[in-house]
Amino acid sequence: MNKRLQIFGKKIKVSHILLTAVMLMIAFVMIAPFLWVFSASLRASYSEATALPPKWLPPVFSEWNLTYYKKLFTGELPFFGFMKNSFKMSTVITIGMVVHGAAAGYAYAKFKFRGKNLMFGLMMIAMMVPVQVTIVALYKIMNLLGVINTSWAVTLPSIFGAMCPGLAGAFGIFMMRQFFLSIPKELNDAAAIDGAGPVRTFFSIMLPMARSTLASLAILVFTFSWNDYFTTFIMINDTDKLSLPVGILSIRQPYVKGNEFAAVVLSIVPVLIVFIIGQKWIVKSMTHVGVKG
Amino acid sequence: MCGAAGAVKRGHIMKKKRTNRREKGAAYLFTLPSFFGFVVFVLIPVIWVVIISFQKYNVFTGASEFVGLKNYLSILNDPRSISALKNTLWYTLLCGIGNTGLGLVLAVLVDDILPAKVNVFFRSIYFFPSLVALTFVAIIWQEFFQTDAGVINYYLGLFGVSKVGWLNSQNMSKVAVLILDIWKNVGMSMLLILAGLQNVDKGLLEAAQIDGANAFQRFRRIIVPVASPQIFFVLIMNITGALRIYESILVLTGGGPGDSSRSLVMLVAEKGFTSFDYGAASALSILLLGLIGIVTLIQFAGSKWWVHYE
Repeated sequence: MNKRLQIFGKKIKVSHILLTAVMLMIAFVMIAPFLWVFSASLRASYSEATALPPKWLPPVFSEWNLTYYKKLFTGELPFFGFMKNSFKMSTVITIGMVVHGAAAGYAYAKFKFRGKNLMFGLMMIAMMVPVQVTIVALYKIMNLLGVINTSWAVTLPSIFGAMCPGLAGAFGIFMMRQFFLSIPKELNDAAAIDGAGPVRTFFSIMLPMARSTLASLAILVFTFSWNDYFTTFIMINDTDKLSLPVGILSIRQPYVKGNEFAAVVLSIVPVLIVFIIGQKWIVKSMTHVGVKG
Repeated sequence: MCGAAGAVKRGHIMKKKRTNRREKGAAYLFTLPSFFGFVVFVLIPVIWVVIISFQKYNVFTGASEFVGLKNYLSILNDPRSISALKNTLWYTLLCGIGNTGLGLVLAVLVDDILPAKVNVFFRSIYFFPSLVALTFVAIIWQEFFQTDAGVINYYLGLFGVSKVGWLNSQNMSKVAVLILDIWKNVGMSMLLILAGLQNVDKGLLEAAQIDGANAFQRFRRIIVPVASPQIFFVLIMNITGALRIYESILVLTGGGPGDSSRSLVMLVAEKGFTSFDYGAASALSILLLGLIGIVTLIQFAGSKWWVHYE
């Protein structure tokens, strides 16, 4: 398999060409659904959209059928209401989790105090308890707090746990702690000698250093809460208060799929933009999470 | 001299004490808000679910009464719960193994065989589905899985495979959910395992190659042991994730046909919030929590003999 071909003046192994071909095929499988839904959202009818053989590429620009997009943009369907709700809830959750995650993560990494191990241990155990297990009691608590059917019923529990897939709960704290553990203790000592108190050290020295981890955490939490279905589905009843993933299912109609295809496309676009901008951070932060389970 | 040194030392200790006190104040200021949140939104709910699982809730009066193990006995005697449990274990096993195994294969492919730029390109594409909400992609895959107009059956047909009723056959509905789950999550597994592969000493691999170890032997003897902490972490993550499987089934099959693809979480949501049987829903939740607990214990126990930490 070590034969080499001459391509563009470079010698390339035959095995590498074969491997690239296989990887391109896998890549096609990974993006095919997105190509398909974009193409389908621009077709006039459901039967045209699903005609076989499948049309992976959209029609030429002059033949674009924008009826379904118009319905979403003119507000005939409450799509942008859902998007606004999703944006609001995800922003609140992200800010909340980043703020308390950074503070608590720092304290668990750098301070000695009574009850530290117990508190941290409890939270790590809580990380294993997903919202799906506690939902009945959580619903009752939200009822007692009088916030059922408002966005608070979703954001409050999510800030302190709940939705990050695979790692519920203390996710933000865990990730920030991992970062602050990697900062040498000498830096804290130097700050203390210069007379900075622990709070000032945190705000003016540690937080600026943590910028990229904070950004990764924010991107991850935002994406996860943007995508959450379960909590919103249980906690919120009124259609006009729903988030995007739940709302999109509520505007489904049999045989007129163009609406939902267009809605799916518009819902994925923000994720795509965030991904293209934050790709480096996202990939790096996933690596951080995985370092030590 | 000795006294002077002592005074200096005492001064240090006093200063240290003062910093410690300030540090403690800051520590509680920083940790108590999140800890309070945990108590209210995680700890109390867990305890409360346990309590509710021993109660019967009356929908009309809103009163609850203690009924002992009745809810647990009723779910154990309920064929729907048993089938949801079986389905969930099926998903857990196959999603866990499938996602982790294929994630490992993809991670090796995108590690460093090809030039760095090519690798980064493929990593991004493979990972992208992990960031998109299940509900959005499940809507698309539902079209792909259609028996007559579906893309998958069309391509299978080109190879002479007769039409598969992915969403309307009792045998295949779970497989459809599995395919969607792996497509969606394998990129995440890949990326996390990749972090482990970066620890593999490339010089060691070359030495092994010179000594005549083939690609599979290098994979089995060097790559897998070094990356085992990450592989194990990903396996546990996939398993606990699959135990909570919900949205993909809801959109693709609605749990059907019959109950053939329904998961435990779907049954929790249905019992709790459609038929308002809080007791049964909580008992099912505790069953789920038990399964997660077992997996977690295996994680702790298994990591000792399976994982080669350096």
